Amino acid sequence: MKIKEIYETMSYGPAPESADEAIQFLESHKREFKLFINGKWVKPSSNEYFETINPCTKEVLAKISEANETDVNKAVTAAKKALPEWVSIGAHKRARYLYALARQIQKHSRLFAVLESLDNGKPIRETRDIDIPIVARHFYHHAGWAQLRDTELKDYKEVGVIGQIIPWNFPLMMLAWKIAPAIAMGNTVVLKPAEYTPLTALLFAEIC
Amino acid sequence: MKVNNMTSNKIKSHHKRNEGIPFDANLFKDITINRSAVERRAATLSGRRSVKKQWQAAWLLKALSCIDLTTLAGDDTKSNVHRLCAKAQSPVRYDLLKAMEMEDADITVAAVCVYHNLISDAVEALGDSNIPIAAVSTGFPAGNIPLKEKIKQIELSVAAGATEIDIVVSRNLVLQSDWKGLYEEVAACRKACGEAHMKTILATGEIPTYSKVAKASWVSMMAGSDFIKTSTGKESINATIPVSLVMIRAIREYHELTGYKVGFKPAGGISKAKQALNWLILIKEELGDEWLNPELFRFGASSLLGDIERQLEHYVTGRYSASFRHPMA
Repeated sequence: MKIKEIYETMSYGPAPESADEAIQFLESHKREFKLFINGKWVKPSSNEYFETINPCTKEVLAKISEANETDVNKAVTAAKKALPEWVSIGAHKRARYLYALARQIQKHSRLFAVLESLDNGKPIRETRDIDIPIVARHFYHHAGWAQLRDTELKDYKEVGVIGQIIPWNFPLMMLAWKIAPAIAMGNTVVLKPAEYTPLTALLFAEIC
Repeated sequence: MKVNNMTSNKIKSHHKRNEGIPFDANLFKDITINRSAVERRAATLSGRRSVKKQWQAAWLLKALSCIDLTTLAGDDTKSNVHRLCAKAQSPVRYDLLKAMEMEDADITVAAVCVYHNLISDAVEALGDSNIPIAAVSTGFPAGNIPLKEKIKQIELSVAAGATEIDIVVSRNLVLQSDWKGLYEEVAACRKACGEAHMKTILATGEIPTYSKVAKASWVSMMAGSDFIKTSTGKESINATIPVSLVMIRAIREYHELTGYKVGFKPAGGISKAKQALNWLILIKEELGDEWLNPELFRFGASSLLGDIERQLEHYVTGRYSASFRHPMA
């Protein structure tokens, strides 16, 4: 657009956020994500995949594994196996892990924000200035609760492996709302993100 | 997008002046301002929008066209004012304008602003360029002279060739909440201005609360100010975004009530191009595009112009020049 036109209309120009880093993350998985079980990427036993799209352009972002019963059982078994150690390390160590998670979110906040915006379709301002900072704050907040479990929350005991299903409207924020309190109190988790918006959960798994 | 005819900087005749309304304390006596909400809005506004590349160049040219190029120093001389007026008429180097295809857009500053006794020098230097001359009258900057003398000063300034008058309100009237007294003072000044447009300086740096700033804005508008202006540039705190937001909201409400569009002029401490963009964003978001022209928005500034020209040169050439490279204003 010519300067003269802008001078007359005083419109805001486009100010796009670079998606390079997010695309790089997708490419590092060849745009085909496996399931994240027991700290490793594993092929789905169903061998079936579905697509997640950028709702703004309808462009396919990546293929996502569809887990079946076998996969879910595998994940629950792994979470069960991890439980005793996660309980026995005690409140203080759990708090340190939660704190580290919060730091990781902050460290990669721009990547999370761009990826969330691509996958969910909400404006970058929402993800960058609201969602992702809240996610980090949640983990910090629950790091505090984790630390206090044995002194201030004596009645609280872990319940075991928790299955969590989250929606697409605030994908990573919902993940934080579910995962942070659960692991803070000594539980382990099997999480299913929304089919529409699984990418930030997968990035969270990879980074954390 | 359709390009309209270029608007010139001259005050358009079709703009309806604020004629003022009778004093009515009920319209503003219950105003209270939520300070933290104002500060939050002010802090987040500029971060929400970014104006880059050719948008930045165009916005900076717009900012430039809204500048009241000002010199208000004790050591002002005829030659100072002549230099200022020369810069006012060709604020950006021709080769830069040409590179931006803006050479025929009639880019000048909005007005030059001087003390009363330098008006005649400005008249002489500006010739028939149509750039208005603004004079600071009414005992600038403190305003602590009798009303009679304020009126006399205005009349002399108008007679000397000033077409815009920047008046300062008596701060003691604001501080004592003598709103009726303030109304009468400003209305008397407006009457003395006649055809000349009047900008009323509230000196917000010396008003202790935002609520009082809002009330003083209301009273000044009711009394017929064409513009309300933040500061003289001589107070320790000059134009800030939060105080501007409070005044702008008052302008918006006054417009909703009366249909009159009152202009806004932040002044003092605005010396960087980036600050100017933040102010334009504030105006665009709060008052809308119709306020984004010199009829309804002015910067009171002197060194801002030099920084804008530097940024424009960077846009054209990709390189920054030293601050002394562009001719002084």
